[in-house]
Amino acid sequence: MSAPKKTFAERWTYLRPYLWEHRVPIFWGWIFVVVSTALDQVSPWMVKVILDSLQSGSAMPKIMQCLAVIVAVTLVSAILLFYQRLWVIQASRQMEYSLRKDLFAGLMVQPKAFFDRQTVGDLMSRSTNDLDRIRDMIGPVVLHLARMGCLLIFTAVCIFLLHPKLLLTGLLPSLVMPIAANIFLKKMYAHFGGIQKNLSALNAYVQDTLSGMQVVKGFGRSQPFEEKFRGASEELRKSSLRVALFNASIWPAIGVLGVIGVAFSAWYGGRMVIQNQITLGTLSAAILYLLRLQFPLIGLGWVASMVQRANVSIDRLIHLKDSFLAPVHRASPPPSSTSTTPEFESLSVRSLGFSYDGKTPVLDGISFSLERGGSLGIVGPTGCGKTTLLHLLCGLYPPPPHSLNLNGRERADVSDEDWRQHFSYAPQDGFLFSTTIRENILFGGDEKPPMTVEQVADWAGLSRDLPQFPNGYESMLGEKGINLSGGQRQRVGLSRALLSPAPVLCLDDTLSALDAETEEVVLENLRRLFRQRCLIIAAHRYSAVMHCDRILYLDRGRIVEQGTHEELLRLNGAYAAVWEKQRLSESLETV
Amino acid sequence: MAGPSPYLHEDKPASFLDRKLWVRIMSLAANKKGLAFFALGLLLTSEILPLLQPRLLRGLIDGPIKNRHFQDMPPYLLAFAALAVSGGLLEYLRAFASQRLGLDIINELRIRLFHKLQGFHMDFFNRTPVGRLMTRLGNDVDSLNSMFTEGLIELSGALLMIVYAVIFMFFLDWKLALASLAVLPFMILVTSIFRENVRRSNTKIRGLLAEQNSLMQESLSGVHIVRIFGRSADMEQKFDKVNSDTRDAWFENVRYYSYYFPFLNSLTEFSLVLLYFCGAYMFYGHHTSLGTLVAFSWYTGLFFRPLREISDKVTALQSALAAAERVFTLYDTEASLPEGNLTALPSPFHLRFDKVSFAYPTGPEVLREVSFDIREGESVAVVGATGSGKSTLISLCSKFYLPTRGQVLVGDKPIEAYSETALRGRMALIPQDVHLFAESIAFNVALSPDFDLSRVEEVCRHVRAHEFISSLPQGYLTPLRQRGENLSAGQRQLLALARALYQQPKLLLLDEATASVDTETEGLIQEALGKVLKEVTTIVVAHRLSTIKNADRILVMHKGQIREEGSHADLLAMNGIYAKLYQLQSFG
Repeated sequence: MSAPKKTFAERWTYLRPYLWEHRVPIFWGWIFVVVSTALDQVSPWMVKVILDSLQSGSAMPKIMQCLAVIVAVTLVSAILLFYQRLWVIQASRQMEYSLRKDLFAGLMVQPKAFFDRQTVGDLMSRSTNDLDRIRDMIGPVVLHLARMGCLLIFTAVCIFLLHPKLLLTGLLPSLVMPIAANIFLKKMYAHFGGIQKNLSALNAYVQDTLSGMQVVKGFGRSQPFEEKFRGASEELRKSSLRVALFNASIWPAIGVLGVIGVAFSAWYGGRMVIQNQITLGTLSAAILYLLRLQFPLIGLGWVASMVQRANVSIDRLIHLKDSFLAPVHRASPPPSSTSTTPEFESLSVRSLGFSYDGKTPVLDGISFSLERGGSLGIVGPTGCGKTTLLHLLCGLYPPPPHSLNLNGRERADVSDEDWRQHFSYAPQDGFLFSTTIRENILFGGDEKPPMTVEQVADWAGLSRDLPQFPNGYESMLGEKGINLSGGQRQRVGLSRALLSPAPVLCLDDTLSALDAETEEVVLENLRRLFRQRCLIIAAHRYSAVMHCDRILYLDRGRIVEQGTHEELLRLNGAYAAVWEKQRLSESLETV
Repeated sequence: MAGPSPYLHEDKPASFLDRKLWVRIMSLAANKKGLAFFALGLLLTSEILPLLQPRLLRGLIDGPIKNRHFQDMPPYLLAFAALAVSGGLLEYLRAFASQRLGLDIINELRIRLFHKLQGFHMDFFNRTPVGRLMTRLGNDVDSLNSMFTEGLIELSGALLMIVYAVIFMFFLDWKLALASLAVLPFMILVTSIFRENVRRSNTKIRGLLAEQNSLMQESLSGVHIVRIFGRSADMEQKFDKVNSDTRDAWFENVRYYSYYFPFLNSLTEFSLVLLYFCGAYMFYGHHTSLGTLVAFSWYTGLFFRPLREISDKVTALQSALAAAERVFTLYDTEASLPEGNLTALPSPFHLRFDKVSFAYPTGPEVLREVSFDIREGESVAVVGATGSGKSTLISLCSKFYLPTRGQVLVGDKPIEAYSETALRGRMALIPQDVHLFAESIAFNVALSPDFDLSRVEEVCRHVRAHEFISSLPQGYLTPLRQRGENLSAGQRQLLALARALYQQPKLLLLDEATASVDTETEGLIQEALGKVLKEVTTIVVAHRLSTIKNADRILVMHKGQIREEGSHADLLAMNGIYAKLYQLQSFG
């Protein structure tokens, strides 16, 4: 995703609060930069004094004094260097922390609709690569820039003080360096574009070929594909080589310029020494100053490119922030044991319609109502709107006005937080986190006897798999619970939902990976547990919903058939047809 | 086929002391010896030139300037200019040669890796994410490049510079050299402590970063779960913990660097102090000259500067080593089936399964004692519920896998005896999910850039794909987008059929697509399939009743076994599994 370019003022507005927060260490860090750079100029000057003294005969005490000054200045400068680095770089790390923290907090209160439009990978790269670049700019890059600026000024002042004419001869070639480096780098970046293009072409080719490997191999045609790859790789090599040509020439060129500056000064200064305009010490000091300037100047190119990249990153972050939707109410921690469990009397849905993009309706005219102790089954082909309906009920998306009513109160009159506390949800794929099984279950709510982790796991039919987990409920799960089977993930997700005190439980095809027998046991437990509450079950397999008080058959977002299992069978419509198929396939299983 | 890939185990940390790894990396340069030695030679010479400059300055000061012979200066200045220019030129050549070396090596490595991948069996590709292979061929191989250029060459350059500087200093005046290098042992000690601390700190940071990224990834992809259970505040807290731990770990890291760099600076200055302390005494004893002192001031700078670079380069080298390790792991992966040497397929063609059982690595048996045969000109339809083993059966026919028990015979020879390329060159496989390459339509039919356009057109006419192709802007040369996104599902299926016919296969293996297509194209596909089944020896995993009826014989698979066999009418009369499937109208 490329972000539109922002103005300097916009970038500044974005970063200012963070910079302001760390103004003290940054301010002192910079003061120390100025002082330490000034102190660094002392030692070449002392060398001048020493060399002059040596020539003027015995002056050992004076030389010792000079050496003592160098030692003292060095020690002070070391301390200043230490603190400037520590303060400025740590401040940049602290800012990186704050930026990331705010970004994460901002994301956490974004409504679900926001995430439907973003890829996780894209958001991740904002939080990692982009923030890293910004931090590097605030830290090392600016520090280097400040040191460079001071160094240039102080060196120029010192050489000027040595002799104004030396300034011209010595510094001129050095000044060409950053300019030349900049021109070179600009050219190089143009060539960089070529590499990028060839690299992504190569990557696309690899992806295309490897995903079609079955065809490539199935027809015994590796050879033409290898040849094409060789060509793409060769192109990449060539464009890289072009950059290498440039790259290889920059540093030597800068080196040559530096040496020429020194030689020029030696020649011009040497003549002045011979003409007794300056001393040999003065000339040597001037050369030492020039030598010290050489390598920091080379760094200018690096600084320029880093600033450029950081600017792009800032723009991307501002763009992300601009695309934020109105935040949802920040959820407070789950109610403690003292607070009352939310009550449930009734839920009614009146001609509910919904669309993700404002054009294609996903739900249309859905109406039903549920009383305490009721259960509702939702079935229908893939993409009929089952999950969307559950997500709407759970409060993930704002419903149209007057379409949802809980305990006699309109959705709009209930806070997000209050609404949410009435619903718990178990998804089809579990959606587990990489922590222990126990922590995953506790995600649903606090343990309140008799609702313990062990107990809900038992009800969810998870406890029978306990011997398979190396450390029982303390076993660590991989990312998204990868080391569990699909059915186990579903049951951990169900246990989590059961631990929540919410009175309405929504199952989103949560039992699909269980065998028929386990499914029946779990459903029986659920029916018993929710006798005074409410169950909403969306499923592909009708055995999960057949005992519900009422079943909705959805197709393309509309209720096509509804009633009890028996009523629907008698209707002999879509529901009955699928039921017959499922019964047949089941009997096939036992052949 | 879920589960983590059993093929690439690559979490081994790379070690600097891993001698085998280094030998391996060096061996990559084996057939670029000329260029490698050229780069090395330039490295050895180009680093000497900067060290001649202080000597020249010394000559200038102790000669013309001291003696006030202005007319003696030009030769020195010319020499300076010559040194500067030739030094720059040598350095340029060196940098270019080393980059060229690196690029050549990785180019060859990349091509070899790709070739190696082509030989891997399908199980490898089914279990290894394409993204990971792309990273190996892309980023990781590129890291190896920077290892050769920036890492190895620059690092040895910096080290060489230090060694040369010491040699030159001792050569110029060993007493002054000793004085200026007196701080060296101290420096080595502190540097090694520093490096150890930084290494430890980096390991810690890497761990925390991984934790932070995975937490972020999970919170973002599971944001609806976080929301429903009202855990945003908890997640923020958790993230804040790892985020601040990471920050603190960085603080520690920054602290080490903040100690180290001022320390290096101070040592450079102290060595200057020691130099002039001894230098002054020696000067008064007429043991040294002003020029020598100035030259030494320059040398100390040349000596201490590369030290800073080394610690940066070492860090870069470390990550390149890890990349090298990963690339070699892929390169060493053994995932090919045994290659036979028979190239001619029997005529007339005959394929026979003899009590074939098969299980995917670490999986349960998916085929059990399957026996059947197919002769030239026959067409066999395989039907069964999802997961009954139909697709696996097709894969075994084209030697994508070898049976765990029993034999697949082509003619009277086991399939292992045939060369993969020869075998598949005379077979054609149409998988369920038609894959089209981001190339022209003609390329996709012929699967080769040297296609015979008239033949391509002929087969396309035969399967009735010609109409839609000729309506495209560039006809047969129309480039397809990735995965053929600019075509409909039905058009893709027609192209897959054309592709199979172009091959003039002895045996066509067809896993019929289940993707729904519009009624008009559906008619075209059925017509084309009907023709193909009459003309070509075919085993088809069938989902359409029309296809099944067009076949000479039907095999009914159930739970990895062939349970029924016969014609449509026979099987219906049996009133068994086939009859049930027919009633369900669902052939998997």
